[in-house]
Parts: sequence; structure tokens; C-alpha cells
Amino acid sequence: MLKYYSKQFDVQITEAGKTVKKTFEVDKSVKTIYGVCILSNRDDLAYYRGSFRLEINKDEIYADGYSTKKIMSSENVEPNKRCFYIGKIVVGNGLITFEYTDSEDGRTVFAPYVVSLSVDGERESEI
Amino acid sequence: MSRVRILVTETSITKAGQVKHFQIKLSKHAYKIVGIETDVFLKSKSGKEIIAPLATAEIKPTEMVVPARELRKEGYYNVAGKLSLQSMERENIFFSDWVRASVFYEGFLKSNSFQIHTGLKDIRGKTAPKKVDVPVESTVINALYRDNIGKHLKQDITYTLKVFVWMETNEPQNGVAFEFLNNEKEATEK
Repeated sequence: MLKYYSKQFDVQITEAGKTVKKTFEVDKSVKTIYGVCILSNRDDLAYYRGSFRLEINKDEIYADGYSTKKIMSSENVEPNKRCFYIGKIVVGNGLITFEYTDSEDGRTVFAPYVVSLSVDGERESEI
Repeated sequence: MSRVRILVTETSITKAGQVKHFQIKLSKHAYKIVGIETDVFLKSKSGKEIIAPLATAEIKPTEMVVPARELRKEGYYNVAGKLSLQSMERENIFFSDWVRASVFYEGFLKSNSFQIHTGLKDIRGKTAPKKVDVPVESTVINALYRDNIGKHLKQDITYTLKVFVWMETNEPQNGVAFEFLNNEKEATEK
């Protein structure tokens, strides 16, 4: 029986203008992923300065340089609809590669922040 | 299901009123363009870093980046320029739209009754690419960009323009259906 799965993967951004690449492994019970969105403890910095690349099961979903702001939702969006639907993607080897790039933007001043990649999917459950 | 891929093309704008021609190279597997999105990373004015790093994080009001005297009376001027795209197979321009430098919620630093400092001013809901339906045979699109913000403010503003091209490809991998494609299907079903 497939049940709803959701998890956040955090990336610490400690230096301005740097790229941070992290590979996360989802639980073995997770079968598919169908939604992603980006959250941050400093929404403004992620919004203005961020771009990223996302790969699931070695398959590129978002190309390098895609703006973070494009997959951020405001609080006006219903909580259960904030993730961006990407179709059902079979997790396969269970690896999610997230590459986040911080770049200068004249409207902000850098401070360390955390960017979270939130994924929605389906997991197998016996109960 | 066809696979949809995103192509990211960047170009720098440094002069006020600059007109820039550039080409977007598509993947050899692409056969149809289904969406276009744009974004602006504002670096500084006159090509210089204008904000010194501070110990505490802070959002600079727009007026510190661009001179307040030039702002329109009705509010923030966020039109960066105009982008036009032309396919090699067609004479007509298939995409022409204003590129906006999105702004974060302006009242971010002002406390409100609930002390909730969040909200994305330009994202009242969710963003989505502008849908187009352009079959492609060659792997190149011609792009023409005209700077507007520099012209309006009468000074050189340096920024990076990003163009995201969403294209359907005939690659063997599993297809990816993004949200805006799904919405399109729902709309046609209704």
C-alpha cells in the first residue's frame, strides 16, 4: 500500500558566491517522487541569490542555473499545494543530487543561511 | 509521454538601453518548445559592487540600489527590459514579453501585527512559464533583448538575464510532466 511521503533535505550556505553540492539518499521504502519545492530560513536570500540543479536517480530534472525563486511558493498558496508537481519519477537508486549556487545580487547582503529541498512522494507501507 | 527538459541561457547586460542579440542553442533531441521563463539577477549599478558586506544580515531597500529620484510615482519600477525570441524555421517572433526583476515582499523589514516576515510580493500564487507551442527543427533560437531599466533610470545597471526554455525532447528516459504542462491538460479537458 502506497502512502504519502514528504521530507526536507537541508543544505548549509556559509560562503557567498559558492556552489554546494549534496547527494541525499531517500528511504528504501520510497517508490516515487512527484513534487519538489525550496524553503529557507532566509527566504529573501534564497529568493534573490539562489540557483540550483536537481537530479533524481541520475536523471536531470532542473538544469543547472535554474532560479530558486521559480519554485518557491508564497504563504498565499494552500499548504498542501506549495510543492511543484514534476510527474511521478521512480526513485530507483534513491539518490537525489542537489546543487545549490549562491550568487551576488545587489539587493541583498550575504549572511549564512540554510536552504531546504522539500520533496513529496509515495512510500510503501504494510500498515 | 515525452520528456520535458529545461535549458538555461545566461547573458550579461551592462549598459543603459543596451540592445543584445544572442542565440539559444537547443538540445539535438528537442522537437518542440513548450514554455519560456525569464529571470534577472541584479548585480549592481555601473558594474561596481555597491554594497559593502555588513556583520548583520539586512535587506537593502530598492532605493539604495537605484536612485529614488528616478522611481515612478506609483511605485517600484521593476521592468528590466523586453525579450523577443524567433525560431529559425519561422519568420515571426514567437515570444515577446517584458522581463521583470522580481521583488521580494517590500514590507519584509516592517513588523506587522503577527510578526510574520514573509511573503513573496511577485509570487501571489506560484510562478509558471509562459506557454508556447513551437516545433523546432534546427537547434538554434534567435533572441533579442532591449534593456529598459537602465534607460529609465538613466544609468548603467549591470545584471544577468536568464532565459529558461522548456522543450519536449525525444530522449529514451522516462518523461517528466511539470506542473504547468499538467495545468494545460486540465484546462483543455475542461
